[in-house]
Amino acid sequence: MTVFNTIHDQTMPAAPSSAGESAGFRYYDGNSAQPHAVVPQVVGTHLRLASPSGDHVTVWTLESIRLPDSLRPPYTLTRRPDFGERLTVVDEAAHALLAPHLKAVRTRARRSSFRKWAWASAAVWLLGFLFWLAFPSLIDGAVAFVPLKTERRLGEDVRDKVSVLMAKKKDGDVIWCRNAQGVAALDRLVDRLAAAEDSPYTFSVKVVDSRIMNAFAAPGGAILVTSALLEKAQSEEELAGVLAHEMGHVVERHGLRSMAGVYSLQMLGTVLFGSDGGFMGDATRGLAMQMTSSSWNRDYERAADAHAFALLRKVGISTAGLVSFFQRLEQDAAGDRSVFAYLGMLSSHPDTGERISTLQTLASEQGGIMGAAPLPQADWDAVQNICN
Amino acid sequence: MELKDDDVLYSGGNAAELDALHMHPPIGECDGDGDVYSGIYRQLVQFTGSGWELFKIWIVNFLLTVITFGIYHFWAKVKVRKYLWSHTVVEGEPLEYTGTAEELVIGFLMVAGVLAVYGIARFMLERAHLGLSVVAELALLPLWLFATYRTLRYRLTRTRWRGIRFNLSGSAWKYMFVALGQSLLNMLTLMLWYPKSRVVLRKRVIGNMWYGNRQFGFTGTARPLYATYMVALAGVVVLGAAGAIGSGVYKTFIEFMDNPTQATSKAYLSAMLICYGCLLLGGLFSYWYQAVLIRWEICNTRFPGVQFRSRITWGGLLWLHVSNLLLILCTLGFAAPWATIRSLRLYMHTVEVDGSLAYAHLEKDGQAAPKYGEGFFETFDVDLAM
Repeated sequence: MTVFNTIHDQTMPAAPSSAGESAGFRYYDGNSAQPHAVVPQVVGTHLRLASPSGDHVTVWTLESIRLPDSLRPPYTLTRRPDFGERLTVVDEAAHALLAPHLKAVRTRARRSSFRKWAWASAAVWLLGFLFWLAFPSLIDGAVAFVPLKTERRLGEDVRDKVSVLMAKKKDGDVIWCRNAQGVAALDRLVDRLAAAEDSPYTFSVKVVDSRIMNAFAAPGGAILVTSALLEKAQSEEELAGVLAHEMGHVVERHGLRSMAGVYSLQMLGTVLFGSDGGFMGDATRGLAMQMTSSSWNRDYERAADAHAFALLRKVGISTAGLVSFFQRLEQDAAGDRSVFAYLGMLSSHPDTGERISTLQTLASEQGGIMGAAPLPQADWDAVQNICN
Repeated sequence: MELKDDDVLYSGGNAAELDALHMHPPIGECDGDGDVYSGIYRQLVQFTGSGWELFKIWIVNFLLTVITFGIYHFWAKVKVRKYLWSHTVVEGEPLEYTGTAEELVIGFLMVAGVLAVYGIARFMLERAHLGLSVVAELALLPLWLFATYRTLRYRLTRTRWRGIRFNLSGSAWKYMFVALGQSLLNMLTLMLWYPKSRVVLRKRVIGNMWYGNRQFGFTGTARPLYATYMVALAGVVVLGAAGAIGSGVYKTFIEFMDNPTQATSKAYLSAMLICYGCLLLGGLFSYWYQAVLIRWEICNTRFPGVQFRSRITWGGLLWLHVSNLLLILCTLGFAAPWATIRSLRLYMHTVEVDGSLAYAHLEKDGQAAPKYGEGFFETFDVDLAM
């Protein structure tokens, strides 16, 4: 091996220096690893390095010197341009000799780097602000390009995935609730609401057997309701309210917008932050992402509530159902602080109390209506038995 | 006047400490060769960094990264490296990191371009057939291996000691193919080939490393690794299997999937915890192997004029990892800088050396150095692990 045929003339372990007073500084010329003992002397704007016997070694201008971040010996000075020359300050005594001169070098370097960073930060903030202003429009613009057909296919796919997460299963297959009378009755309610929707979407509502209480609107009109939610709803007005709310999500394309937004944010986060935020960096990034996306989601929920209110009024179904359903949710949440209460219905949603009061304000401003029952009693019974 | 070759200010360890160390029996992982030298080892590296100083750097970096929307993180990385390098004092002379954030930015942009192409290709594949995503996933491995070698080269060429830089010769493509072959062999032999593959890859990497105009070498064989490796492997497999069967993790998972409720999810989570606990217990065996591996790698790493060895023990490693884990958990991650410093101290202070370098003949190399940084590992949220 070629590795070992090099000169090997030193077999003794390292011994302390005998170079006396000059051992405090070691100079490397950049051509070999051989240290040279030097005595530094600052002359005007120059640092002159001489050997202990007084021979000239080299001269550095103070301006060209680059300091390490910490000046605790042993540390090494470099210079620009870098040809590999190094001056190592070995101990405190040597440091004390140079320190007064290095202070000025340090101040100058700090000042110029501060100025650089101040400008850069200002530019970044400005760009960031503009981006923050433009981001929602950018997302909406991107979403507008998605054709209805694609949106519907995507939505069906999403609904299937979500139902696998929530449903009870038999032999590994999701248990759908498909009691014929129940499905027909539910479809009648959906059709009645959809008829008042002025939108290109066709809605399909499916019920899945699950102990998790939730209703979910996928893009394109695919809506999923769990059996636990049907049990929780005490009247057909309440169910109609929930459905109208989910249809609001569909019509305003909240699902697609949120997917596009989160995806772009993630891309952006990776591009900007990369790695090495360490534990705290990752946690902060996750938190920021969570806060941003759930702030959108809260806006979406409010928009869907308003949409539901308007739709119910248009169809002539009592708007009180939506309010009473939220009130029951809030009572349950107060009584039972289970994990699923948050995961299922409340996370990334606005405070239920706030939603109730908003709806009540809407009702008092525009006049809530106490219309006729949305479904005949027989239909409501059928919907409640849809899983049997 | 020039200093003599052996005129180094040696800053690590004292005589009494060294004497105490020599009372230990010789290390089993290294064969011979040591007797060429004096047989008297001394501590090679003194790591002088402190947790508090590193913490101050981290917290400032963190704040600046936040207010610049993340762009500062390239500079933050360089700051941390400069600190760690300059507090690694080898034979009285600190290392120096000469990489710049600008290089990292350019490297990152280049890799981001490659990954964008990869992303589009992957999207097309997945549209053609969902099963093809496995192919796309596998295609990342060679990319990863290639980038590993390039990253090491970048970092070595940005590391100087006594004004002279390190380097890595050889081709990253070649390394990629060799490492792919070794991964395949490991898979086919159910990981029984692993110590052998370690030898092949170490030879390729360390044998291509340079300090100035002199080359490192690697002379290890797989034999001293096998006994401990097999024990560690058996420990993980047996305890892992026992945990998986004993905790009934599969059964509770099926129950949870069949009827997702609070009760079934709790049962599933607790089974998972038991399972992980057993795996961790099995992992304890791996500390023994880890220590053997480190000692083996270091004493088989050759450099003209010197002989290295490590005195790291499995107990030391185990304590380091357990205490660091507790430290990080108890402080919610704020003690990460201290954990880093403690690890570096253990790994570096246990390295010893015998012999001396002929500094006057150790000249700078004439090899090329890469111009840009290590984009790949930036984008993937991991650090180099070799």
